Amino acid sequence: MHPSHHPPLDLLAAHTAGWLAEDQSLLVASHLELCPACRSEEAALEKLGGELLEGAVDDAPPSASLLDAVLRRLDEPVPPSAPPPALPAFLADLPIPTVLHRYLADVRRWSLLLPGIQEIALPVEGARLRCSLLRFKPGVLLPRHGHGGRELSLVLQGGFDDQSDAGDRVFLPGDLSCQDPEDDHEVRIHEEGCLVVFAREGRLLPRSLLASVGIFLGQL
Amino acid sequence: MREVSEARSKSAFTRLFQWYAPRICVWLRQRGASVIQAEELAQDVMLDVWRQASRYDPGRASVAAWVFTIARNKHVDRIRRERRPKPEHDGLLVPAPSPDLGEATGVAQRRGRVHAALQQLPDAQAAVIRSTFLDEETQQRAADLHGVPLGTIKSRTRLAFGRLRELLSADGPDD
Repeated sequence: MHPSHHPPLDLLAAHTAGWLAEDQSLLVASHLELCPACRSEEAALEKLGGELLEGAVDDAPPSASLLDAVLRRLDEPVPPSAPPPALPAFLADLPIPTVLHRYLADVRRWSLLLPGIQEIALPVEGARLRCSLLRFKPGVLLPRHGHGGRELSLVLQGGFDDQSDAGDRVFLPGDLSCQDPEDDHEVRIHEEGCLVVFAREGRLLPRSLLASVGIFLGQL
Repeated sequence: MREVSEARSKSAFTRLFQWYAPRICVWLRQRGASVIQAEELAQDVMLDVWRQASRYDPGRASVAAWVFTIARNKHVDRIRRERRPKPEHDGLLVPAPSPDLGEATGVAQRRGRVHAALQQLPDAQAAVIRSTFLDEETQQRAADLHGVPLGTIKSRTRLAFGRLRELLSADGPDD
């Protein structure tokens, strides 16, 4: 899989540096599982992190007993790592990135968000508003809307067409859409439907009467 | 590093420890950890270096980059554990899967491209990218230092990263 829409580099860097909020970090980590090109960039950024670590100057060295404490623990048996949680049976056939599995282990069912849109909310700390798996029925139209904050969506299955002032773009599995507050767009789901994981800060801003009704009904 | 991973040499590990443990402590304190927290976490990081040494792949990453990722994961885990009311979801950050062997060559070719591109950026832009690897507080300090709002520093960061990406896509083949 070679996705064509990637996270902005500042987002990838913040993820690599370890200070992205959990919800956005999960989206970037999910994209990384699907995108060899971004994994290469991640490796380059980790190298930069390593060099900054090498260059960290020590003004107050750690206490001398620290080394002894670690040396004593070297021969301790390694605690067994917990097996990765399994996806519930009703999700098992879906191409869900490994990083998301542990968030879904206890989920029982999809809930209805709007006609044609089902949702499973992810229990993420620091999600400013919403971080979910969304499943769209074929052909669903999301009327033109804006965003109160950055919105990330990653296609896992199917796809959608995105119309905005920047032009028409097609999003397919592995593609990450990044909508910033100033971006307006309209989305049409492909005929095979679409599964996405998304994280959004801020509220949706309707740009048409239809969008207003949808946002009100779905409490988006 | 090889003496640690293959011969399981404790004296080689001690040399690694003496080089990296103080640096990890400094890095963690820059990220807001207290002296005690930094030392506890540095212990755990170095213990992981010992336990996971056989997984270290010199073809993929420098030792420094590998130690950096372990330190970062521990740090992120600790922060999320503190913010999370229930401790049952321990260690939520699952490490990203390593690229498979077929991709390793591509990674080796592209490694250094970020650095090469950084060389081409004006100093001020390179500086904001480096500051991304520190924390928001550092960005705030940078803002204070330059007498500009934090938002300006952030938008400069975004600009600089946009430029960096242009440089990255301009040179070298994309995979």
